[in-house]
Amino acid sequence: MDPLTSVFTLLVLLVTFVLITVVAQFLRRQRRLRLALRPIAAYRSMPILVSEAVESERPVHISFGGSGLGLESTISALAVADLMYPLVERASVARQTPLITLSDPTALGLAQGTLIRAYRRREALGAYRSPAVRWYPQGPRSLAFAAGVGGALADEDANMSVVGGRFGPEIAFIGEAAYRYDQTFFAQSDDLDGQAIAWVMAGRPLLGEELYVAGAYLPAKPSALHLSQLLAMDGLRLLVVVAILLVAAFTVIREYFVQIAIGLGLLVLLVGVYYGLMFLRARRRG
Amino acid sequence: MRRVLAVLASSLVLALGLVTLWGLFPGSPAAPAAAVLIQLVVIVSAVAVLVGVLNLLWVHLQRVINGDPGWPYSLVLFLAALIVIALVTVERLGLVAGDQLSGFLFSAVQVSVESALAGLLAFFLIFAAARLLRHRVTWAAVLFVITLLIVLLGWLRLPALGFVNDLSAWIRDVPAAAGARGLLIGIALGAAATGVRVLLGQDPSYRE
Repeated sequence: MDPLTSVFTLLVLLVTFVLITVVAQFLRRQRRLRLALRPIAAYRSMPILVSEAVESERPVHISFGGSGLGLESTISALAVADLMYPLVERASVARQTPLITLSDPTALGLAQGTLIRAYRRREALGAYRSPAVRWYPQGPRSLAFAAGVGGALADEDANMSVVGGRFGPEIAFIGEAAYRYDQTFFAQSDDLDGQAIAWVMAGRPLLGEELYVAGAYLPAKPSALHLSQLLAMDGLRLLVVVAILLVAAFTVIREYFVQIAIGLGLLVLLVGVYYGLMFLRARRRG
Repeated sequence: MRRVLAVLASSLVLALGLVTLWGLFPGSPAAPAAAVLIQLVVIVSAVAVLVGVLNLLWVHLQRVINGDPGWPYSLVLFLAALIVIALVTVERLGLVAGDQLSGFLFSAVQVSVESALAGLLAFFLIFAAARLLRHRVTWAAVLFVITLLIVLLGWLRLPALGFVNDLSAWIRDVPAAAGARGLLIGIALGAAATGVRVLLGQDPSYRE
């Protein structure tokens, strides 16, 4: 990291830290406060589809893709675990265990841990089965993984498929399998190629950063920390938008200063002439 | 006891996370400690691959034993994995000269199957674009398909389609690049906020 990037990164992290802690404290004190969150269609329909899966005794499929711990995709893996927890908690009353797939073995522990936590919270640990979490061979653009998950979706007859984290174009195979077996497909990727395909193939796509706010949308009572994270993200996004607009305006002004000055001068002159004429006409009538 | 363990886990995560973060900044005195921690992650990842292979074999063995739908495929996978593991072990022990056999198996099976799958990808995507207009007729979907067609035509570089070629290049350079940057900035902000939330050590996962 060069010094400028380091300073900027530190600044962003500090602003995020301050925003999250301050907002979380505020929300903890204002317990009666109800936040109206921006509607995200995917998060609105996920709990309903999990309930349908429980009723029809079909499993729910959640995939981490190539996200793993200790790599650049660590945060994506944690975000998928955040998304997985409330869904598995809801599905844990069913006889069918959910199907969790991943291609980075470092995510195995995270997935098993999240699964156990969700079952334990519902006091249904007896229904937990470790083979619910399945690893398929890894690698960038792992087509073997995509083909394996596609096959598992058919074998297990899943009701819905939620894939998020790190996926490349191979996400198309999973989407195709979900479509073929009439399963609702939710998809997101932190890779641009994968995100583009996810948007086309998913019945209800999640875009970019929407994966990271699952903890604020899916639980019945989201924690103050998850809500504050959502608000911090929105605040940061607003800051970035303002910064981009300011930089764009500054660049345009610097680049075309003379033209803008002449244009503004002409505009002032025209307005002056117009009001002058109006004034003269009013005096002649008056 | 459970509460003490939760506090310990949170403190450990917080301390190690902050040390690693600090170590990533240039000239930081925590750089050696961060390097050791990152090295540990690499070692854990290597062990995790072994756990992953065992998980794969265990899941498919269970499917064979239980007679689940598609169990013959699981049997083929299980036997193929065992044969390849045995073959590579024999080669590494020097009982067979070189690694021609496992190399041949890899290029003859894995590479060709993955290439065939990659070839199918384009057709899946075209079908998906067509389906998009059938199921989700929105302005965004129509715009997406029109843009896709223009960009695909632009790639052909036909002299007769001069305007389309220019438009395709402009779409790739301006709106597509801007959209991609917007998505990446959003993902980066989301990742930063999630990372800070985890580093705060107040995540419910530490308490359960």
